[in-house]
Amino acid sequence: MPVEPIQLLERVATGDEAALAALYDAFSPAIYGVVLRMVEKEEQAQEVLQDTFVKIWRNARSYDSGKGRPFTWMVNIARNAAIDLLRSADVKRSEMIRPIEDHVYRIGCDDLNMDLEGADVRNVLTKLRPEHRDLIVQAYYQGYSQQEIADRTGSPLGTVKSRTRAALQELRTLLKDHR
Amino acid sequence: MNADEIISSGMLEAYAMGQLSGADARVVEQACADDPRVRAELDQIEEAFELQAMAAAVAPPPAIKAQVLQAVSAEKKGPATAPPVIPITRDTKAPRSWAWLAAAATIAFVVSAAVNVMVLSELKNVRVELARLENDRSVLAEELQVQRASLERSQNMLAVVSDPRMQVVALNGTAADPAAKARVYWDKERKAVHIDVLQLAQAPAGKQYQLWAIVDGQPVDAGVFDMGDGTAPIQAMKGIGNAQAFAVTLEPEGGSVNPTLEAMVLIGQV
Repeated sequence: MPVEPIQLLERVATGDEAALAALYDAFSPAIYGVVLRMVEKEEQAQEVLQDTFVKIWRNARSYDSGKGRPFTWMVNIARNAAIDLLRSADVKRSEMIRPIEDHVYRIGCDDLNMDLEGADVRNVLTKLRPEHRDLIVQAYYQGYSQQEIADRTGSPLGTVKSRTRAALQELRTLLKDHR
Repeated sequence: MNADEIISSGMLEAYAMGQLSGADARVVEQACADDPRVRAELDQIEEAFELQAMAAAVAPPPAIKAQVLQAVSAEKKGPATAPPVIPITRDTKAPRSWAWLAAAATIAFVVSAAVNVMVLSELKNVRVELARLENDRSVLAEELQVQRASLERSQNMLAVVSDPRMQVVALNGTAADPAAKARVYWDKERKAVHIDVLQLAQAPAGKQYQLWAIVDGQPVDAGVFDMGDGTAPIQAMKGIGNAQAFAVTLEPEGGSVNPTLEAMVLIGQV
């Protein structure tokens, strides 16, 4: 990467459109890949992606490098937008008396097997122990809090917390081997 | 919580995924500022998510980039507005859709409460109605009891009156009570005697009417009887197998061994 993302964000904060274009080129595929795994339709993912970069443009000056990596900040903007979309879709669906669990189950299982590019990481996720994979899917791709996951799975909150830690350590090991 | 505790707690992972509430997020941010080891651990966790996302990247349609840049440049030309701050952690405020759900739940609760009140009120009405019906039922049961007894008396009377073996002896008033009138139904073979009083003055207090059978000129006690409400129109008396006449006298309560002839009010020959 020729220019550090932090510097690009700083330039975006000053109103530099070229810096935004560079950030887009560098990170939009990774962000799009995450969002595609979260929402139901490609059009929704595209909408979320566009919305995300407009928000990055507007809020670049509020990015605080002391609080995390630029990618984390950006992808979480996208994930929040996607989660809001999922929640409103769930509400609409429940209004049609279709159980929310249907949808959650579908995301949890099918979406990880979506035939997308970057199948290698999909393989990394599928290599995780099932309880770790389920946890990351619920936390990262479905946006559930630790308490919500504890309630949904009937596990104690402490178990969810320690399992989150173990899941990430397993993921990190798998990614290290993967490189 | 010290650095090691925070590192091993799973909080950093949750923070990276935007799962932490404001207070917990501040704990993590403070720990990152205080201890480089925490900061480094968080960075590695974030890097894991980043690597995962990079490896699973999907190129978006080219048109999106143009739309983003167009939107951004339109905003730049427009009036400058203070940009709202977007925190790195997920906004804990519920999305609008949840507000609708909450509103729907509130409406459902209010409707449910109203229905409960209505049902309770209805239940109270039903209980009152039930008590009323139960009262009616017991009144009717008493009534039925009375009617049954009355029917039984009537049937007994009818059985006596319609029995072909019964001999009817008409008793007429004496000088003591000329208007008096009665009938004795007598089944000689079965020694059954019944009296049917048609007209007779009320017995004074302390006195009762007594029926006698005249057998070979001698009076034989056939029992005392009452009159008025609660008494059968035709009353069974003591059994008599042989008699030439029947007579009724007014005697002290409980009857007498020998009739007071001066007090004879009814007499009739068989």
